[in-house]
Amino acid sequence: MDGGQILLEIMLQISIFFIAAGVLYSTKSVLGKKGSLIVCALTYIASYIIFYDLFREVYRAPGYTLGFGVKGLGGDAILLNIMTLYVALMGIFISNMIMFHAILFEKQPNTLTYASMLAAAGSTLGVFYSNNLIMIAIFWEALVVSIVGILYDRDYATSTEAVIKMLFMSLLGSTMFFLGIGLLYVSVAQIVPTLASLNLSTLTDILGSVDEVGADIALLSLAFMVSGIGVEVGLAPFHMWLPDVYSGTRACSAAFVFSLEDTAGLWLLLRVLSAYSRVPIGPVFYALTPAFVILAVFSVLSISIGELSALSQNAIRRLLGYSSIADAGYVLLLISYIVYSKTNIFTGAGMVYAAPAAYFIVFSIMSLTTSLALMGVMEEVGIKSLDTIRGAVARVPLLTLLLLISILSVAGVPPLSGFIAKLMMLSFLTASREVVSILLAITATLFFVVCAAYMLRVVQRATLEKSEKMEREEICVTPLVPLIVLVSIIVLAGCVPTLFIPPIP
Amino acid sequence: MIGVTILPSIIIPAISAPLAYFVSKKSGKAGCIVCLLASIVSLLLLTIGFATNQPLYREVYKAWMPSPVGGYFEAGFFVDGVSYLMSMATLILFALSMIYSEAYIGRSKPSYYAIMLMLLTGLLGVFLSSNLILFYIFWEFMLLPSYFIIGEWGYRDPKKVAFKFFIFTHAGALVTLVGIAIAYATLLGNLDIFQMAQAAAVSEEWKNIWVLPFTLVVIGFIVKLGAFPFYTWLPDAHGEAPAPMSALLSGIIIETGAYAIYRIGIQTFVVPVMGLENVPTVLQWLAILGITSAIYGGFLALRETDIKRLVAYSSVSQAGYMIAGLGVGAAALAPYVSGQGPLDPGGVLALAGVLFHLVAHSWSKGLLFLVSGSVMHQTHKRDITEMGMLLHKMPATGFAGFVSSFSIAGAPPFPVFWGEIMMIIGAAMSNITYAKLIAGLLALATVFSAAYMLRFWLYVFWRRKPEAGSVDEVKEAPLAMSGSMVLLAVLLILIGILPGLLFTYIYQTINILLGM
Repeated sequence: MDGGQILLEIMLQISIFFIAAGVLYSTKSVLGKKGSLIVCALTYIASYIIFYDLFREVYRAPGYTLGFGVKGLGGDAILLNIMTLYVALMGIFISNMIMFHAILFEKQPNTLTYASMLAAAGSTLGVFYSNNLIMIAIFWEALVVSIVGILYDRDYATSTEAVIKMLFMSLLGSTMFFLGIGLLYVSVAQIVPTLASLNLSTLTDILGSVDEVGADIALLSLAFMVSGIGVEVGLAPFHMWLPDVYSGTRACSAAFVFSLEDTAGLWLLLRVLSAYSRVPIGPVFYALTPAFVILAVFSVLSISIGELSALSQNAIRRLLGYSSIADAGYVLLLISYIVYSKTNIFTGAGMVYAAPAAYFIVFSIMSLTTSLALMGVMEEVGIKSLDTIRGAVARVPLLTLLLLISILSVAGVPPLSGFIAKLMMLSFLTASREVVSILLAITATLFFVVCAAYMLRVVQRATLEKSEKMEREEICVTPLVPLIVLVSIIVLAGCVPTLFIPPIP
Repeated sequence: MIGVTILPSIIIPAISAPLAYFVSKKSGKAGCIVCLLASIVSLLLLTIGFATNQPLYREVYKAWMPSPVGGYFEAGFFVDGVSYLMSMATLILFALSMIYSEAYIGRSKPSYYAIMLMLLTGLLGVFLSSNLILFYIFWEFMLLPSYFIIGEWGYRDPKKVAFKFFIFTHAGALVTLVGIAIAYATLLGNLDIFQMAQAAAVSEEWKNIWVLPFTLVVIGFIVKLGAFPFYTWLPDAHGEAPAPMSALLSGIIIETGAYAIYRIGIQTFVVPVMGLENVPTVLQWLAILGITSAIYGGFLALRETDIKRLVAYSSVSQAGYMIAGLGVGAAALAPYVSGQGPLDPGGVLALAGVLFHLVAHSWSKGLLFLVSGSVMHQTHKRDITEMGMLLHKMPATGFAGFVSSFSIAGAPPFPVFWGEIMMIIGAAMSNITYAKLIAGLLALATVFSAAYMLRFWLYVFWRRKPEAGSVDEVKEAPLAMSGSMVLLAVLLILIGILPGLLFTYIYQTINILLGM
């Protein structure tokens, strides 16, 4: 297959989501629940077929990376890297399962939400595949717009407030991201005065040649971009909106949103910082040490705020929200080390670092979003908080079992994938043999205990404590099937991690 | 050569768990039978694998998890003399505890059997993993089943106790994890204990840093062992857990701590640097910590009147013996292992004593907890001062109580005697100066052990109480409980009379350690 054909496939893969979204929305009066499910299933199947093809092509490519040009944006405005492709696939897969669950679970089909979900999936793919920062920003904005459509629900009282908060923060994040891109362009335009200079893969070399003023501006741009993405993924101190969205919207909608937004956002953070961290030599290179310190401080802040705030929550969805803030902090910890070690994780020997990072992002998000979606089902039988979850194992045993597995994975209990993710992060940090990264690993480890403590409270209430209402509740198993698939993967990926990581020869 | 038997022997209990759950819904006995079959099949597989590949049998599954320095970690398992003995002790104690549970556990049997089988998988994994990460996974995996068993079937305030147990041991495990991570960072390569030991032997960096990872892993292991100063969770957890779980907690789970200190702390981390000047100092501190725990635990047990907490404090003391024995034994062998001196027979004797004590204590303490549970089950009392003359009312339990308490007391010919006497004589005859003092203090600790165990036996089974009428209505425990206890007591007498049955395997393992 030549480059043109592959590019066509990529465009097709992104477009089919938008086309399917259009079909769903325009035929909402005709398509019922089954019709919506069939359209979505066909869309995702087509996407997986294209994923299969793309994987084959990327494996054949030198350095497991394929670049495609776009007029005006340079020769590699679209870039397929093996790990990026893997994270994209897993993000799409998680969202697929949650979407199926949402369709099967909702009593009345909500085609606007489903159409928005498909549009969000297409936009996310765009974010993953784009290598040019302008293109990334455009797809990101499309994602944010789609998210509004997903989260807003007239019938859900608190969703309006949550969506407004989320939209406001997203706009703030986007503004910061755009500002960062603008500043970066100011910095690099002195070397390459075209938009192609904003391609992440070529940025490194260009940054290596900027003068001192340009280096200062470039670092400022990095600060804006990181803050922008940080707002979108809910890193502390920009996290205030996240627990509200976790608890104030429909659980399956929130789970869907975070499965895509967090996966894409955290991976983007990794890509941007990796582009900066591999500057060969020059003023930017030397200035990266303070950047590392700032990132490490932010990550520890996110971890501590997330874990300690979760400890005092009663509402389980808010607890999961704070836990996701902490998880974003763990990812940032990993990323800060990449900045520190000045490693390019997308090429050459540095690629070995990409696997743990990808695994961490994918499986921590899978565990969190699965827990969130399961809480949505729990709420149907009145279980919302630590008070009402008492005796859940007697009332809804299957649901409780699934929830416990997924939250124990979030807590990092072996042999679940959440544990392997945290373990990989620790091995990643300690393998550096740097005192500073080992200290960061120890800090993270201390907070694992806090995480285990609050998750154990959920486990304890659900299994060991009794409530007045202990009768078995009748729940339909069909909507749970996609979540059972996700939970099974959480277990399997913990026992045999290599099954879920693309081999790098 | 028969390959691929270790992993199945670990997994079989876990995959039997759902089966045990569903069959127990119809009949509790069926669940018990599934547990028995799972342990028998596991033991058979392990025995076949080990018997055909002695003295060391290894199984390696490649490409298990990506390594941060490229390539993949392997999933490795192994069985040598000591890990075989510990697995065998675990499987036999587990099987007998399950028979005991059939009469002892009154409710939610399906969940109980399923969870216990999961626990068995964790226990076997700890003894049979050669990869440190796998070891850690199984180490942590033991936690959840234990948590649920204590929380659901425990006495008094089980949820609080289970929570305390979980957080303590989880925090300890994370300290261990940091130690493992630092060791990995220093030795970069595989996490296989055998390969790590080889890498450590030639690493200059390891010589400078080994004390830190060693201390961290040992702290984590001591938390699990419940030795001084990290013992506070132990009397609560062991005291309030249901008797079969207490038997496994005190009989096997704390033994995993001592086993891990030997296997990872000593064999993997210390042996490669035995020639360094700071090794004897570190091992000396280990021995001091051990002897402190042995005496302090004995003192606490002497003051205790709650039947299960007394036995639990005894575990704090016995854990101390093992730590002290490991410290002295390893220190005495250091000159020989590093090629700087002749073989110290005292060191070999002390180390063999510790490894024998692992098995002897596991069964003796397991039986003692089953006996305590049986007494509580039949009398509905916990305070030994309110008991007496139970030997007449519960002869089978009394017999098992006699064997187990006299074994823990260190009386010959019961098996704990052999372990303790070898540790004491080994320490006394070794070339290390301070070991003579350790030997003396260990002998003192055995006096404590004898005192609190004799008190236990007399108060519960023998002495005539003024209000002896209070036990008139007491009957012998049901057959499943008394039968399993008697069977275990007979096994204890057997290895007490024929300790050589175990020593063959123990010396095989020590020979591997010494490179002989």
